[in-house]
Amino acid sequence: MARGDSAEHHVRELAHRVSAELAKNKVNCVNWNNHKAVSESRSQQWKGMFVEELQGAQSDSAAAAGNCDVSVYLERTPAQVVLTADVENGNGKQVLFAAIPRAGIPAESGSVSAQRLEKELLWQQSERILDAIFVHGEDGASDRLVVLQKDVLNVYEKRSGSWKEVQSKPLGDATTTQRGPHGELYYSMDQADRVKMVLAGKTCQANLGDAAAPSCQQNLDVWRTGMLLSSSCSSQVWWLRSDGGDMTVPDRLELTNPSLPATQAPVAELATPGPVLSISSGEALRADTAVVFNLSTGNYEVYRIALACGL
Amino acid sequence: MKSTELRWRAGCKRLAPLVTLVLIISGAQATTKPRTGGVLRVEFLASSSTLDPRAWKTGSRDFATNERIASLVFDRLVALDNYGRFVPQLATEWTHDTSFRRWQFTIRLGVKFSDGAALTAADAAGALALLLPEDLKATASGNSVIFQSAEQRPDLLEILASGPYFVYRAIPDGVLIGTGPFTLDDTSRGFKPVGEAAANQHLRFSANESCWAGRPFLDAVDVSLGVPPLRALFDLQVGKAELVELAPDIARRAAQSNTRVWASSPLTLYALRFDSGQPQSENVALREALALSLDRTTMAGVLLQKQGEPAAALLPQWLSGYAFLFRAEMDIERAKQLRASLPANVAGGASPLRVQPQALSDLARLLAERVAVNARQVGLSVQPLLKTGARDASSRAADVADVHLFVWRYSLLSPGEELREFARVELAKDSKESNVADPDRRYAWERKILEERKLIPLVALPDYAGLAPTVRDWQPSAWGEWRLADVWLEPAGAEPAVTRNPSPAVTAASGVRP
Repeated sequence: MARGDSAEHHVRELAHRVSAELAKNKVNCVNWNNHKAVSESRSQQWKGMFVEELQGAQSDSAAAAGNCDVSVYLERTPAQVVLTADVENGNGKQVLFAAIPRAGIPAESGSVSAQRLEKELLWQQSERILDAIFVHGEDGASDRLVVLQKDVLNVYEKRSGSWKEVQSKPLGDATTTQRGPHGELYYSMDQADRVKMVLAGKTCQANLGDAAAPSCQQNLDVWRTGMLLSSSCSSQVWWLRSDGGDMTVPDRLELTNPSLPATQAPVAELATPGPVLSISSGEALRADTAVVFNLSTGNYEVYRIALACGL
Repeated sequence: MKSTELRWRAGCKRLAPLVTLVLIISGAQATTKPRTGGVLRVEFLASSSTLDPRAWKTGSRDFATNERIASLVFDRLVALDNYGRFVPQLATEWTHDTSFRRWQFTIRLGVKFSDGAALTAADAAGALALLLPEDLKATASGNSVIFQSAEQRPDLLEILASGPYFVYRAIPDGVLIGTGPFTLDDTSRGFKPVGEAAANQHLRFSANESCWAGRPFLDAVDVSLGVPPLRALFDLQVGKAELVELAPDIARRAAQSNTRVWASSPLTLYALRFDSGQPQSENVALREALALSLDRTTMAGVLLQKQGEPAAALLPQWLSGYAFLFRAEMDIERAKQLRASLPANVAGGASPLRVQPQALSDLARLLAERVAVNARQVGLSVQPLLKTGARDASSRAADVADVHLFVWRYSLLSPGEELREFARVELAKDSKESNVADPDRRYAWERKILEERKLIPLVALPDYAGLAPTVRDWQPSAWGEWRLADVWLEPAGAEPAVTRNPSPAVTAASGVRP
């Protein structure tokens, strides 16, 4: 059942109003036009709902475009996605609208490209993520995801296929108040229940398994430059870095040989949907974790980055 | 699988020293660390500005300059990001009743004005109450600001996130202060308000070290007003400025010379308005004939050299989402038929239709002349009034305009409120239309206005700006906000800004719908 303010509700309500405008409630087809307002999959999902609500089995949405009594246009404005239904009902044209707040439309993950470097989307949120680490659960333990924000450290565990929050530790005085905040997580498999956080001018230690507040001390603010990465099929260790643009441009992860100068050409690259904000690891060399700001959706995304064998 | 795991673990142990070593050596890094410091030199075409939102004239071209400068000093309750999400600013949360008539905003704690005084709900309510539409009342209640309206206001967030709706406080000497990322230096405070244009004004804004959102990366922003268009481009290219406003014709030249150019969505509308006080303006067939004679495609493609786009609606496509429903096709034959139905002395012979550009810019002159050429094709006599300088009383009387070529600069993110302001200013009457946040009602109203043909849209143009390669994290909105608090400067001589793929917000204006 669609909530009153959900996108589904708006789409179905528009279909209902269109249906009321049509003579004898007959519709031959729907001409559906998505002008880059939403993703094509989202558009098709809405179209399905619209057609279903409009006439159910009577509708032939596959009919040729341009000859339909109903045309729907999806347009994006700064705050809304506007659906315009242009209805020919025998007595002339009628135009009906539905305005869906963009903020209420769930974001979708981008496609995962298959290259030597592979990325797997683990998590996304609209709040800024400074750094994150994925910790693979050993010996039947659950996978864990540790997410550092400017004012809180959140710990999630994978349960029944989805992430559940198990700890949320406010950073208190260590909260970053800088514009463009930066922070880093360090994790060692030898101390599996602890993380070190490097924030602006502070270094903090936090236990992942209890609710105790992090303990912090003054320290230098030095930015990490990349992370080592290996594959399970060779002993070669690589250096994973990003291309290092600013917050406005798409980025790419680059794999280089750590024993060669930094100016060398990367041996593998993987495009990311926005700037890479951090690269860290909770799995030593097996896989890294990258935080990316997705320029298309405005969400902060956490990816597990691994090297594929045999490609 | 198990053996692979064991081999991998053994490898990890062997490589532990290398891990330490490589973490010390430096390679390229994740997003470049923003650099704090530097002075951003900004040049505007407008010759004057005022920080007082109460003095801004809706729809005027100066509005954008005022708003961009004010955003250095003031904050809003909420902002709209480039992804359609409302982001807390001075308000941390908000709620509304089911009818959208009563909204409550909780004011952020710990925010201080630049004089050190704490921001209160009374400050916010007091500032906004003087700016809001008449039916919308703002009052303080504890740590909240309550907005109450007789009309449904589902678009209140859009309203508060744009236009003049900044939170400010007047200090005893009449100066307005804010909570924003910069403060106006004392030496700049004596600058002349709008209406007392003084060319080449210079303003300096210093970083607000105690800004609630964090200190901006820049140490200061130096603003120069009244810089001629060519001079602005020259200053950018020789390194005397890092960010300059570009006139549309100069933007094209700048792009051709590989200068970094930003374009917004179309933000400025050029349109015709029949003067309701003139007898010829009451002739419906005349208005229809003139509208059908206009060749907007040539205006946009040739006169504007594709720096603008044809406009058939009052609200642009990017704001309303439905502007494509309005067609502005030229129909010479129909226009000639309408002309033939008119008496010969209407828009003909000794009684031409006089068109007065609101501002005598080169573009306005060109458009007025093109309107005259188009009208002549269907037998209408149109005379552009392009004289400047002193004229005697008799010539002024003869120059009373039947049609005004006016400019409207969009400034609100609420399409309903923008249309209401447009009607109030350009139709010179307060709207009785209610609930224009509802797209069905708004579309019907806009259509009704356009069908009267008293307002005839011509073309719409984006804002343009030129940027130095050293400007980083330039993340403006498509609707014209520059967001300089997040900008930082690469040291001179460093690697230039990456521009291989602009973000969605900085792409050029989108075309009109087919």
